[in-house]
Amino acid sequence: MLSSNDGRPERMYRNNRHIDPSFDENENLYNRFKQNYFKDGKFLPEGIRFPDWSVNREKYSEPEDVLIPNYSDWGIIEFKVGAIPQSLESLGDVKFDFKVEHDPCDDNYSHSEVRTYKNGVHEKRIDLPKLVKKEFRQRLSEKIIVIKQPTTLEQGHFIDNKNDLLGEKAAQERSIDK
Amino acid sequence: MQAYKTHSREDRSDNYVRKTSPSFRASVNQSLDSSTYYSTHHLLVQSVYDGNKFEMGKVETDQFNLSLSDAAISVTNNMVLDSKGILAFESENKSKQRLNSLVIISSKPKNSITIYQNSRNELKCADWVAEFSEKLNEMSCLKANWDSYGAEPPNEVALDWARKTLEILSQKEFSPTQITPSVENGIGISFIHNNKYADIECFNEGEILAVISDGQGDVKVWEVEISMLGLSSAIDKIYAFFQ
Repeated sequence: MLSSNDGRPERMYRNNRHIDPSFDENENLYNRFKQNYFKDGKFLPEGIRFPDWSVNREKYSEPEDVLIPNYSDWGIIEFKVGAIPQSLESLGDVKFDFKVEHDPCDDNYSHSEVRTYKNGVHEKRIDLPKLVKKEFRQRLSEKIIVIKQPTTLEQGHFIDNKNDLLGEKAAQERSIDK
Repeated sequence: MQAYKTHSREDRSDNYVRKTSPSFRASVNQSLDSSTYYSTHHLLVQSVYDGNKFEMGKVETDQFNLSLSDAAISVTNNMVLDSKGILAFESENKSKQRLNSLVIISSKPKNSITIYQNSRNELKCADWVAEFSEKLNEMSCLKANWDSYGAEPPNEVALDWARKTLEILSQKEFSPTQITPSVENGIGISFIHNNKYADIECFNEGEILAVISDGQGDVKVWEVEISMLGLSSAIDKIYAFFQ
């Protein structure tokens, strides 16, 4: 059901709902991307923002909600809550923990953030070692699945069944092996 | 003169190597220029793996086989390797048809091969260098918030180091898989082969970081020294990682 001029469905509105801090490890998180970060079956880490990365959570949204209001030609990525690296340590034994937290907006109840805690404390402008950032983005990128490519690049379409994506990868490998 | 380059570490749509065992096949699926309509042309084939890997007088007749998918061709003299490691032979396009696909098969599994058509005195930059240089130019036109989450476009510092990286890669004849702007404000130069991944990321702040990952959980990141030597060293490390 559409409820606004920008095509935002009713489910996206917060409507006084409370924050839901509970995430299942298997819950999917979604984000959009425009540049060609999908190559040879991999999502490139250059497309991952750090430390506070906005995502939509599956429990309260559909994947295409990340394309609202005017990103219909962008791509969509998906990864599971459990795919987020739990923690990394920098030189000097400083521990950084990562977790997704529900951070609803009035017009996007599912909005969440992948946040970083330094020695148990989260700050918006946290001072992070660059190598920790780099490693985090690399490890997470390896768990990301592209479920829609940007239209402008590949006549974008939803990969409704992930087997389709696997099929693409297999086709590439077959091509290489010829 | 146009240069056609093949790479053993990637699969590109127009210009790539397909590995088979024990040999591999290098293909140039790209139309050759109009001179190929003439009855005779010359090709120079140069091994670029390990530099002068093939020594003068040691080229075997079965080391390279030349075939064309849609035109009859024959090698009309023996292959000769000069002091620069360039393997030269003369061939004849009997059908006088446009040559669309050139295939070279080497019995040396790790060789990559550069094909220079109608070689004369000057060598043109490989296609991938021009392609990625153009991508860098396009990135300079990105606007603020190009990713809709507040990313800044690559600035001149990042572009400059990315161009230098590309320059070294060109010298080493080592093609990246992709060049993209980074949402962390900079430029990423990525390499992918099989399940392995590596990149060099040049940030707007002037820092350069690199990563290699085997795709099985072994991830190594390091800071690249901000110099041509530092970049060259990082590229060598990445190159070795894929071997």
